Amino acid sequence: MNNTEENKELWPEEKSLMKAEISRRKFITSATLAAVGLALAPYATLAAETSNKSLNFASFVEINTTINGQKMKMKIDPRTSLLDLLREQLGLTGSKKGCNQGACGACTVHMGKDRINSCLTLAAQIDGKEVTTIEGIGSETEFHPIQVAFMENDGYQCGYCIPRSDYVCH
Amino acid sequence: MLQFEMGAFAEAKNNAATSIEASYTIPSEHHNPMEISNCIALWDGDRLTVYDATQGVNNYQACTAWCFETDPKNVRVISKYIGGGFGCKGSYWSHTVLAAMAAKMLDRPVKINLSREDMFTAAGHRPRTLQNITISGGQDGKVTGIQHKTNSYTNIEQKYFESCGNLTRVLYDIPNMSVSHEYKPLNLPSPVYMRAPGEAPGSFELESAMDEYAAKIKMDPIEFRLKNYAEVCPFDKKPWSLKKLRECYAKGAEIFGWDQRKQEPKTNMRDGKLIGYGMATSTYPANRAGGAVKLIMDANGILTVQTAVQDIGTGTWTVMGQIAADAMGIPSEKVNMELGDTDFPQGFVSGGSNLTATAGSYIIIAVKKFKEKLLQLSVAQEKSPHYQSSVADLSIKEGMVEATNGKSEPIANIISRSGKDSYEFTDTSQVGKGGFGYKKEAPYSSHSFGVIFAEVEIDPDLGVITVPRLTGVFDVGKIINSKTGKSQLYGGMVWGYGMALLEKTDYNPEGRVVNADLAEYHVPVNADIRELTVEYIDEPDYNFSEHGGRGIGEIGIVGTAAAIANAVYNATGKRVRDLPITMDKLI
Repeated sequence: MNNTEENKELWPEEKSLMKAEISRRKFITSATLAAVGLALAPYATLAAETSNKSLNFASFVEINTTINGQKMKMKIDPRTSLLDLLREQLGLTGSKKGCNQGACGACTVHMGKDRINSCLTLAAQIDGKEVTTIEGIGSETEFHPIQVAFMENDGYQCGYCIPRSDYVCH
Repeated sequence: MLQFEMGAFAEAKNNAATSIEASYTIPSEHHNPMEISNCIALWDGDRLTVYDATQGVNNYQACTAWCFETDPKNVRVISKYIGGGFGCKGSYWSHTVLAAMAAKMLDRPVKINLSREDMFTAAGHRPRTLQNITISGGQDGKVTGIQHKTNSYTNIEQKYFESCGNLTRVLYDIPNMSVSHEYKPLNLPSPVYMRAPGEAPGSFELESAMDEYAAKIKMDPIEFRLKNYAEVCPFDKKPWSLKKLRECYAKGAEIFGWDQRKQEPKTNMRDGKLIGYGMATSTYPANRAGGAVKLIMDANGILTVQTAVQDIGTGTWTVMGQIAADAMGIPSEKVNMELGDTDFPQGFVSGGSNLTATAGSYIIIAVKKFKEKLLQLSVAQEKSPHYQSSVADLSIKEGMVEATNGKSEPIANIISRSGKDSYEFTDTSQVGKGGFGYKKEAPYSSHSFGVIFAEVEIDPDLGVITVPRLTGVFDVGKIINSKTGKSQLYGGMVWGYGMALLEKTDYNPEGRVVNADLAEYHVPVNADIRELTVEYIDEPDYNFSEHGGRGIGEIGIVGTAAAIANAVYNATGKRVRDLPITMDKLI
């Protein structure tokens, strides 16, 4: 399947760019001139120069999924891990890459009702499934009881393992 | 490297009634923070910005500037949240400069993520140590001589030294000491500071050896430590800035139930398992440096505090905010901390358990000056309720400026009356020269102390060890935040558990790590750790820091492995001198 003008479905890069709405040069400028540290969205580094024309999309697969309650439709490189899709393409950096081998659990998400290591799951596997990441637990106005329990008992220090800890208790 | 002689050890040994000599080995260990090292580098003309995971934003700024032969002002390092460091993110590694080089050559941002496997070669480790110790003295428990020899390795290029003998000079009143270190330069990745460098491995040897001596003369281990208690610092004879170690021994023994310990090994059984109790003294130097901070108060009474320090999971964000709020007299919700960016005034590295003492002190000093300036502004403002009052009659509490005559108003009014949006003040604290300058100039010797108690349960047939209880009682000066403070001490003790029973980096004969992942390099997990108890004396050491607190990040690991090993001896009669203590060493 080629990336033609008729194709209205968004590539992850296009989606990122539309969200970021800035060019590469503008990005660098704004990043260095910002008065406070940016929450740097990794996907914003996929700049305009990453031209779609140079990539072969024949092997991309389409997935339909719901992530944190939001319906999504994407074409992805089938080799992408779910963790990389979440972090690098969708800007959901709450899940962490602690080992990329399934030994640490910092990448834990829910697929349906199951707890999975997103580093060992292909993004293509979430087709037709519902995924909840750590960002989907609680909200800015109302914490989940698990989050409250961890905060009250000082369950975290650096917080890097939050996906594992919250999910194990969930 | 540390070589220290005091008195005449050889002679003391010859004249001594008894002595013990033993060798201990600890394997190489790796930090394995949950967050793997990573960075993003991007250039804008000659200006470089690096997003990194570092324990020292200013350090990384200086190193990067040096690499590119440019002024540090042209390099900005940003590190807001770090997923653990434990020492490995304090030193500068190749990935940061490589990302910057690639970004320059490609003229686009470059991100480098190491792999977990890379963390076993490209981010440092604690080197394997072989230590030999001789303790000699009387049958009455008075030690007259100690010799502590350390043999380890360093890298061909770097000169990092694991100074295991540091604490030997500090812990006990022993008139004749010989402390020496020897290192071979090897073609292995460079070792580097890892939680309580020197003290952690050194304490395993020293406190195991002290336990061996006590066992030989059949004396209670705590009584033996008290017999050799150091009233002043043994090696420099300076008085302690504050030392509450006796209180730690007493409180710990009581909480732990030390009186239930059976002196004779292998005589305590419970449900078919061998039970053992062990203890060890813990210590860590109190380190403090200088730094700078910018304070900004706005017309809403919000105090912004900017300084280039970083939070590696230790709670810097929380604790510095607390300290600033306390010093200012405003609620902590009114403090806006800004850290982790070299655009802020120069801070200091998170290392050597120094940061709360360092940054906490210079923030307090700055805030005191800032308050004075604000109050002087207030008494000069015609519309102020305190117009023409004396500054000495004013104080700030809960965000209100109160006078002795009862008049009060919100502190924000001083700013809003001035017609400006905010009021700023930058202050720099110099403390001695170089590194942790404070200790060199001070008339006191400042160290934290503690005692670790361990109960172990061992299956006599299979050698399976569990540690049902670990208790630590610490004199670390004033505890600034009880919740986060205890967590740091728990964390250190959990590391000590890992050091004692689990952690070991395996190398093949070519020097390649063969267990370079989290499945085969074992760190303690929830299922390993049972009851953890932490108590502290909580007496402020104002001779050392403005808030009376000392560092707590590293002391928890010091002595924990020895306490567990000593408990293993008490349970089984077997003295294990080679970590980790695995089942095969007990059956």
